[in-house]
Amino acid sequence: MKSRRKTVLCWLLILPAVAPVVLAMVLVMIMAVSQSVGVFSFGEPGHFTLAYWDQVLSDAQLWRATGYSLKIGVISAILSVAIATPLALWLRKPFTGSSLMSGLLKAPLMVHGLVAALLFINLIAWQGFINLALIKMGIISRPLRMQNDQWGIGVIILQVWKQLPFALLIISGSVRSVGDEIFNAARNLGAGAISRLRQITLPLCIKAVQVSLMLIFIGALGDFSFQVVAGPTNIFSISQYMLRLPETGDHGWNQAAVVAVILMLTAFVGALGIAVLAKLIQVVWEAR
Amino acid sequence: MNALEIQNARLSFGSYTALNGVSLKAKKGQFVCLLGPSGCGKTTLLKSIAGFYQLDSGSVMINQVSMHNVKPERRDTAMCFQSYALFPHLSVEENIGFGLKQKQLDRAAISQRVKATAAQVSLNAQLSKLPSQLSGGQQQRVALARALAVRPEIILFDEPLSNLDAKLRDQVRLEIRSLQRSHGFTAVYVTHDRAEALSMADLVVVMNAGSIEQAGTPDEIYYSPINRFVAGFVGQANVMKARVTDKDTASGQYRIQCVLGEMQVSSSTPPVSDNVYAFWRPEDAIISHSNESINSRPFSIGAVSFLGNISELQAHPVGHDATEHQWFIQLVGKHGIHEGDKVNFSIAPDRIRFLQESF
Repeated sequence: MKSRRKTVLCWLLILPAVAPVVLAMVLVMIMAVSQSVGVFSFGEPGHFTLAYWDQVLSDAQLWRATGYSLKIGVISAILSVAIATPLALWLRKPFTGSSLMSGLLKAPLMVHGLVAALLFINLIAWQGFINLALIKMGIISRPLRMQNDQWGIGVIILQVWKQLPFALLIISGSVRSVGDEIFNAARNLGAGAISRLRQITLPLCIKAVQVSLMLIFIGALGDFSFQVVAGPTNIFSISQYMLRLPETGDHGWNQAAVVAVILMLTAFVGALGIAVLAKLIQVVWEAR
Repeated sequence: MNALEIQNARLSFGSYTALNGVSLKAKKGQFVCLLGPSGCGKTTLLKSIAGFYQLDSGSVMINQVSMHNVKPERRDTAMCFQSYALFPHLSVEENIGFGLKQKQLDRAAISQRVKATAAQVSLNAQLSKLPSQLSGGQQQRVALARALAVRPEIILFDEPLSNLDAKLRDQVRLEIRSLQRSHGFTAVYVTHDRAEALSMADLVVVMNAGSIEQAGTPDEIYYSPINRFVAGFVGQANVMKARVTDKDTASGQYRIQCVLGEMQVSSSTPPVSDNVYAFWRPEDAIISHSNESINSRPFSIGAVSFLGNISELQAHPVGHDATEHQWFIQLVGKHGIHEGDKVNFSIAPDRIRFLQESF
């Protein structure tokens, strides 16, 4: 009885902090869902309909945008984690210059995404730094087209540059928590660098890797600013597509709400899938 | 044959010298204890043998083979860590089999060896558990089994019992010693616990400030320490300055003048000079009922501690209460001696020993 009262008291105490967060999240989701099925509409009485879903799902642009955003999200997440993991291992033990290196790697955290995109454009633009340098050095005779490339490579580079510090922070913390003696014990028992990575580091850091993958994937999936500045012009990202819809007609906001729900679902399912995949790869790799 | 040979090992971390010319030999199957205070370099030496530290100069040889530039994973050693360092995500079975997996033994052979090793340390029933589900003593056994399973030439123990309670420590200590004898591996065991070192080792190596002060059998270290540091570190030692006033080196009979007055000493080891440090152990003094007994002197009793099997008295020679003369005397059982009493104790001539250190 006493412990039940304590539990209730604990819930009451954390309620003021948790309730606004949950409420805000749930409200947004409810609004998006109800708007997508017409229950809530701007400027007219609401009524339930699946017409907006039908219209959006039958639009080929949605599938292209979703496919493109998934590609950007998955590749950015995997690349960021693939680069951050060895960096975290390298920076595990302090060495001369490691603090400077660590600081430099985390610098992108301080730069806003839009500013980063503009700086990046300065590098890759038709008359940007890279093209000018290559021409001055005589390597090329006319500028290369790198800005707004059709594969979204620029966006991926920007995503990795921006998201790498997040992954590095999360994975570094996890790697450091493993402790030197565990690695030394593995070495002492004959485990080489690859074996240690496979049998010790990754299994013990898999949760951090999963969290990094999920966070980066979700962020990159819903990217708007990098796409607008540096992305390809022949394809929309899913957020770009969503924000274009309200301008297209009377029920644009409802259609945008459909895309918002799809975006949330894709983020959820994709993040879950990527985390499960990471775990599966680890299990299979460990079993070898 | 020497399983381990260390020659003039030197290692510094910045301006701090961790190893200052350490040389050591351990025969195959020998149990070597590195004993010393915190920061004396014993763990550094152990990690240098394992290959975790590269020596600045000097060499480590295992089975007559130089370990220069040989990575830890290529050395025929296994280490039991102070923190156990068990792999938290692997079961007991996987932990014990980890080293065997690295040696690429087939699954059947690994399973067989793991079960056999687990049986030796009474872990059969725990094989499927994770380390976090085990008690401290069981975790220690897993660490031991993990090292034993790979059958290395040398097992390195880094204060493996320091996290166990006193009773369990005694039990695991006996188990380690027994396993070492039955398996015949060479053991290098780091500890700052003199009882552990004296009870387990064939060879005790006393270290201080990155150097070896003395290496010898437990008897040699305890009864014939070379200096005040070793005498004091391996047990309580009542050290006094002694001036040799008469000597018969052939028979080993000496007379010394010290704070206790003139005392007779019977020693097979001659003093290194006429002004030498001598010492006796707390258990060497016995109650004397007569002033006429040989080497009998009155002592003022300070604190009295009853420790169960023994009583420990803080005492100083009557008329000499300086800090350097605050000594310890141990008597078996309980006696009617109280703080402030004056009691005569005698120390047999062969219980007063010379240190190889002059003043």
